[in-house]
Amino acid sequence: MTTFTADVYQNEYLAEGASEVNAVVTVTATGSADAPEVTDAAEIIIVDISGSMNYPQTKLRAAQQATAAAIDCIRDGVWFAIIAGTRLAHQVYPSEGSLVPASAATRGEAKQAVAALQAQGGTAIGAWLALANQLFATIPAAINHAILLTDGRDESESAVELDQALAACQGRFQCDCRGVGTDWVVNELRKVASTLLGTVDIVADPAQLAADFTAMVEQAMGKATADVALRVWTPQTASVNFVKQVAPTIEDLTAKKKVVSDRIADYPTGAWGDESRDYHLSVQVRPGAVGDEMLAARVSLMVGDQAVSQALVRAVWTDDAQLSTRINRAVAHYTGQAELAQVIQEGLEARKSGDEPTATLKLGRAVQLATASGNDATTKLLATVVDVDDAATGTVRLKQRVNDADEMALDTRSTKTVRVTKSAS
Amino acid sequence: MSEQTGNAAARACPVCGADTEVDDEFCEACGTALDGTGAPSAEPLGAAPSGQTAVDGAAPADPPSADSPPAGPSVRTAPAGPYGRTNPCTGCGADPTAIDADGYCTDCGLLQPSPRDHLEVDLGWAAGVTDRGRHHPRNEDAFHLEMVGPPEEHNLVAVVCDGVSSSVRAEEAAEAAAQAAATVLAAVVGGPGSLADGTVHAADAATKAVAALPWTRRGQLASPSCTLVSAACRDGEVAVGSVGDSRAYWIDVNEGQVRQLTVDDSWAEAQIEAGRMTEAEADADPRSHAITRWIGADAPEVDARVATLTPAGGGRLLLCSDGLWNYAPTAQAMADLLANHSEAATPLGLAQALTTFALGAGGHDNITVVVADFPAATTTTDDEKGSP
Repeated sequence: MTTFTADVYQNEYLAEGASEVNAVVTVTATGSADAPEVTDAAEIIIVDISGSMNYPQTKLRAAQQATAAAIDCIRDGVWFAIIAGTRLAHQVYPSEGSLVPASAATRGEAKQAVAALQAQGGTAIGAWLALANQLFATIPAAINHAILLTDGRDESESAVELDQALAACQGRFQCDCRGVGTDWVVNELRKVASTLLGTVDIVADPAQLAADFTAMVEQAMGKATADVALRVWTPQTASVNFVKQVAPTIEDLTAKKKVVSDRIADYPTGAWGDESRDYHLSVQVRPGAVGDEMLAARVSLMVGDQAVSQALVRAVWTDDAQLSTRINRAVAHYTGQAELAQVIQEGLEARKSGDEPTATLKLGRAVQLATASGNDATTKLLATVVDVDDAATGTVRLKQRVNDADEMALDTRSTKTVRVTKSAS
Repeated sequence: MSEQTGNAAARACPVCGADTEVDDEFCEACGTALDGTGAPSAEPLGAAPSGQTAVDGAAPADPPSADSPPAGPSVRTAPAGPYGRTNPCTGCGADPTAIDADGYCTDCGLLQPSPRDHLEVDLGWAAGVTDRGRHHPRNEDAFHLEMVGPPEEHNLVAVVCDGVSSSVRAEEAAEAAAQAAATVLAAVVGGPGSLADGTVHAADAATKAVAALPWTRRGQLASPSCTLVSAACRDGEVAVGSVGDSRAYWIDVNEGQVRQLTVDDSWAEAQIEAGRMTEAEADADPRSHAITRWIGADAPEVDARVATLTPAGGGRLLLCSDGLWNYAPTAQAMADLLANHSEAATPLGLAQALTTFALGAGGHDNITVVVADFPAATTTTDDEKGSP
């Protein structure tokens, strides 16, 4: 049985008249590994077989091998299907319009069907997702997960068509997205992954695909609890500024809220295995008098209709400046990590549009933040785009030659955060 | 998820909503009388909080009986919320049913007053008052007052604890420490052992009790912590123990002199002791109030400071948290303050008057005042003890 805990990290003391309450809520799930294996799950792998997958041919072959490796990781009894994508969506396996339970026999048949794929045609990600959604709807599995691989821009359909498909799929299944090569668009795939509560990453070298696919399926197989939501209650005069997942990656959930009542909203977090995630909650409240304590938010972890854990975010007004000026390390750290992701994306955008002063400023700030917070992975990625003169002050120079794959890796991984150590000060 | 055993039907405390047993006289969680009258107990006090009577929201100068008790039969007819609340929200006026189990209004979020906000105990010749003050949302002070033996023997145990507001569950730390120390001291006063040794043991017992409190880390807050000042009085001898910056004073009624019996474990005191600063300089420093010793799992392992006295003449013992002495930090200031309240004849009257004074001076912190009267030495005890 999976057990959830929710812990709050905040400085609840506010100066007189202050109205913004910030808190980091750490949610941890344990015990999934001891539970009986979940077969109430479904996995669909969507492989891009557009014509460009032939250039170079190693891309298609690597995608086929990666898909085969992923199929091997699908646990017996878990529903699965394979979709191949061009300007249309083609069901590769099974042939009829549904999914089949995994077994040695079905896995073998699926791999044969994948090996026979030929690349030709365009790219219509929305159409691929729509077929996946249609297939998931035919079976009663609790945890629906997809993997989407593409090497190109979503060029065979309009942006509106993609948005409509995403809206239809939202909340129906989760989807991890991978871009292979450097001809795909980071923002496009990020939107797909973000809407469908999945991850996005670049696999620049096709040879790395199999390992990446295997890891994704293994992680998906580790999910034991479907459809977990953060339920946030706030007082009648309060409003939620934002709810963000801040670890392991930054994901703004604010716009994904489902209103339950005028004071309660649910923010979806998808399926959970044994893992821990941090959320940053910011609430605007009506200031109380000195000495007042207010419950600024009650955060409940919902599994279906059941609240499995809860955490209280409090506000206490004080005239003791020693209390109200104390900075909570978790809140400060994740505020910094969110800014880091933002300045990387803005810096790269400015660089692309030729605005070098802005790019230098933003990426310099990014180097400063990444170094100060110990985000070594991001620091390394930044060093592929800028030459660092002084990390402490964020003094950098833009590199004149930048590898496309490096730039895309920095962009896609800009939202990866490092966790704060929450020991006492 | 333990299940209720036995067939005694549990009921909820009408004030705080905690489960209680049918034959409980007081709520274990908040101390509210459950006998249906809510009347203050006239019994000699046993273990806290059973002896501490809630006077919900009463002004400290009010006699306890003047305020309508929260759990009396007269209010049973009021529409109570699911957690026994009978008063509307003090912030937005929402119906009592809007108050949740944690004491927050589910409409505006405001924390509702707790019975702990103001408590009074009156034993006649000894009394105590604790009050939330005006600036803190919770009362994180706690006290325990207990007579040992018949009243005329003037044997007493008194403990005041002040929860450290930068620690988690500070109010529970104060409550647990006061109770644990008082339990040890009551046994010491009731027996032949050394009061000074017993005072050290009592502080150790308080540390164990606080360290045993379950808690989860919240941000930069420390583990549950509090201060402690205790008094054990037997046959005219008084032993005072302290850890932190809660204080004890001896008031010589005849001469009007006030003597501070405790030394603060504070940053300011450390500077003064080391000769680095004058009292005035140290008190003016923003760090002056930081305590250097406390009761808690992470506290330095040092014995409580102990002072003993065997006053021949009559006098008054005063224990208090810094919520009072902040407004009269020096012995002279305290003497002046007490001289201004000389009209308060009874210990309860004085404890109430000093609490009212602290509230009037700003009430920046929780306030706790315990006062006990000691008569001039009587022949029996003096002869036996050979006191000067």
